[in-house]
Amino acid sequence: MASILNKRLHRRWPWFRLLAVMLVLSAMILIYLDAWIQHRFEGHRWSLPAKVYSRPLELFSGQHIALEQVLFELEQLGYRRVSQVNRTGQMRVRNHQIEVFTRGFRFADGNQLGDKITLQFSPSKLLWLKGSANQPLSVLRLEPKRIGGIYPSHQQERELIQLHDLPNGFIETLVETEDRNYFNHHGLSLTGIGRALWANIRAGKVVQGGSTLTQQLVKNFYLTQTQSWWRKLQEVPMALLLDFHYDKDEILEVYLNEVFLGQSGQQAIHGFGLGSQFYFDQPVHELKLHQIALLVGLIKGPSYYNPRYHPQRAKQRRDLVLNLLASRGVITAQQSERSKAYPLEVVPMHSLNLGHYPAYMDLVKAQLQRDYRSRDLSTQGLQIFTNLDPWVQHQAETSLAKVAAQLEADYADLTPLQGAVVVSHRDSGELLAVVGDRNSRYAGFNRALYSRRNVGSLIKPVIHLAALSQPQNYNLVSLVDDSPLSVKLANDSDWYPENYDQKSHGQIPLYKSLVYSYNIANVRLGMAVGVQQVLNTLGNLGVAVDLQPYPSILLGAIPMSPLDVTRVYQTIAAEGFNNRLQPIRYITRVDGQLLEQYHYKVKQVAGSQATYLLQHALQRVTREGTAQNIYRYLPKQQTVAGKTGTTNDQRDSWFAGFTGDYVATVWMGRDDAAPTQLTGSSGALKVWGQMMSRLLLPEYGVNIPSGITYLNIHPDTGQVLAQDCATGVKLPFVERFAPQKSATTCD
Amino acid sequence: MNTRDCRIVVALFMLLPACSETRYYPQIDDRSIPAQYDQRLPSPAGVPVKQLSTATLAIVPVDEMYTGRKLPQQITKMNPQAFDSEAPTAFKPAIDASFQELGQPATPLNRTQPIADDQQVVNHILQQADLLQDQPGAAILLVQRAMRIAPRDPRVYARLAVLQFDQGQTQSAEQVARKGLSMVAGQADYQYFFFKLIAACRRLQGDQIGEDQAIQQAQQYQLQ
Repeated sequence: MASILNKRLHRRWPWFRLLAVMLVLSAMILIYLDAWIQHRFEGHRWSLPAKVYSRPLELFSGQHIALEQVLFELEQLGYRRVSQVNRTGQMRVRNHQIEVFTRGFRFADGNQLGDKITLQFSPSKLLWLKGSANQPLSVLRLEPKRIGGIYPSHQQERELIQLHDLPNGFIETLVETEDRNYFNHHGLSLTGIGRALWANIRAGKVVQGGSTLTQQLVKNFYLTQTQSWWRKLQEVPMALLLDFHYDKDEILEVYLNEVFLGQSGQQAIHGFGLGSQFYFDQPVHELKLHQIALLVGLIKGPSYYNPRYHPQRAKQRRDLVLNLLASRGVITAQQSERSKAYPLEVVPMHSLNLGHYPAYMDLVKAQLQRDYRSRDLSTQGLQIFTNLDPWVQHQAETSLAKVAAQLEADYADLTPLQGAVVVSHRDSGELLAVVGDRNSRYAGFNRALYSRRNVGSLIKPVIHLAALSQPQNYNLVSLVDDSPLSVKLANDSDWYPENYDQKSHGQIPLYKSLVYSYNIANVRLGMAVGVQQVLNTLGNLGVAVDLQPYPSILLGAIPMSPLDVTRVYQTIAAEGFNNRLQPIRYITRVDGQLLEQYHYKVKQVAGSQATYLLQHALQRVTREGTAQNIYRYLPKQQTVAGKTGTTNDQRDSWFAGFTGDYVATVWMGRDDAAPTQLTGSSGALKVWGQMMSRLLLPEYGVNIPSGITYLNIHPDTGQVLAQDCATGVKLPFVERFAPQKSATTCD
Repeated sequence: MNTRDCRIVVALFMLLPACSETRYYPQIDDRSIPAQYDQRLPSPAGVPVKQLSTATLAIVPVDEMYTGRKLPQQITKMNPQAFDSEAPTAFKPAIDASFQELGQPATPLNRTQPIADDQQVVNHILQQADLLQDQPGAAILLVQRAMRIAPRDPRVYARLAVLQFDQGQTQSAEQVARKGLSMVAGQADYQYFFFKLIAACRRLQGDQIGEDQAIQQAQQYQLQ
């Protein structure tokens, strides 16, 4: 009997054994999946790229700011013009008044709440601002503009949202469209599968999916998009397990941030937060019903229903969603018809505002990569607040592009002309704008940072500063010889520097050698001061160069980038105080906590008296010297200090200077260093002037340091004249070393 | 189950990863930023971010507006001992031409525009910064915000220099004070204040001669 039983069991045993093995394996798989689901779901779920912001616009009553600039900034922030302002993100412009419902923002030093604000302007001033309760406000800070991000290698971007961020009707729209039984099933909907199966059999093709939102999340969050039975088999138990462990709201929130909604080049658009920005340039809580319907409709096929490339399909899909909502009583028929009447309202692709400022972002990334690990930068959701001024940046970009195009049209053989612009704040050293290419969106070679070209006459103020720092030896009327000169070089050859006009001018006051940029006089001056001393002065001004002290340096045979030149002129403009040129203000964590702050740092590197005298001479360069053309762009009463620079064979055209609150450097030339026919005045100065003419420039305030006195001086002989002599020029001097020799007449 | 069966089970189990089409997503831990970064600046952890409601942004009444001639009243947390240093017994001033020329009475700032509404805003922001005495990082942020609005207002530099001094950044504080000095020609109260602050910074740096020099400069404005 026992042997018969054994024989029967032995025949059936392979099937029992297989079943047992499968059960054990299934249990192991389930345990593994269960652990993995929880592990993935409960940690930080995504790699959050760092977000980079511009400076926030501050508005206060009495501020010198034009309505045009405020409008520009509001439009850049995605504020929409409406006839009636009712919700955040809307504005109305009427006469000289802007009514705007601000969004508010959480800054590291305090929150700015959103409110309905009224701004009243005069042509060049913000007269007053009031809140929604008609209370006068002293200051308002708009939210900063998102200008870019630092992404992980998989280029996934996120704009995380929570359920309470959603506008009314969003969840209903999503659930009715994708999974109407979501709140009742347990991860899997057999009725949904059956319904889809029946619809597909009737249609003869796949017209409906039976996946629940939970299954879609499992597919996107844990698995791949591969259409396979194995993936489907995995999806089922995982969806059940997910639903078992987490409640509906939690799963829905993750879904809202994970769903794929499109592609922007290499960037994948995941989540409705980012999708809202990508398609509408608005935060998700500002969306209206027709916009919600469009976004939800995209889930089925973001490429197929892409509203930018297939607007008809997108509109049909959106209208289908609206009809569905109406048929199920979520909205009324009237609401549906009203929403269908709206156009798609999708903004052009560039409005995502990512990669708009590649030159500036280069600088930001370079600084961050010095201080942080790449992984932390691209995964921790850091928020980086920069000094980029969108209005100044816009003026710099458009001026460079326009002038370059105009010059190419005016001159033969100038194509392709390139350029770079750097703008900083005169007192703080904050970097406001960086343009590395005349096509400012081009994320290639950044000329503002990396192009090192000879600076030509831009070096001359450094020579003068080195000289004027010895007030016992030099003042603005110290006579300098501009007659022909030969310099013996180290290799025993002779160098004959020449003036631009091929003439020599004899004995001239020191300031004129700068104003008219006489090469010979400057070489003589530099040789007298010492080439090494000039290099030391340049180092003090913020640019240390590792060069032998060759005399040719005195004519600007020093390769520098536009950023380096800005450092030098920044220090001169700030009265001898060297600021760090800062792109970043501070960094916070994803929760808003302050992580790093880039403090204001300053160091006095040159005497106030010497820089004051130099500033005066640079003002004369624009009033009566090589940069007079600046007043074709700016009003005569605007004080401008600057210097033109032209290199041999006119290969480089430079202008660097300061006025009001700004210091700016412009370079123009060809990447192959071919001659351009442009001087500093006929090239770079035009960009500089046009850019500054678009910025409201405050008074050029300057403190006269102690020990400075003004004397009336003969412009050619340097003799002191009576104060009332009209033929004289008023020049500043260090009082202790002022010239004593007086002329008896005014001639 | 015999040995062969066990081997089959183990082999099947080993095949599991090969069958999986899953990806591994490394756990993201917000503590992965190295601790050293947290120490760069005192974090206002545990202190709620101050709410600046629109109600608090009302215009400061005119009589509270700073007139420009009084010593800033809310420069606090200065080390009193730094201001009470004794006169040196052997004084050999180092020649520092750039330092000496700062701040001497001279032609006041030539401004044709009246200093107007930005002062009120600076008032308000500096008052907010004063409320953050225990959060120096956030206070510095606010002061730097005031600096952007009024970049040539010496109060801002005074406040910033004090905050940096309090944090032990004496070299930075001295330089900021020198920058402030370059803006206050003819304002004896500020000149006195900045020179005293510079003296305090130099004392903490161990620069006795420099401290004495600064005190000597400050004494010129003490009785004005």
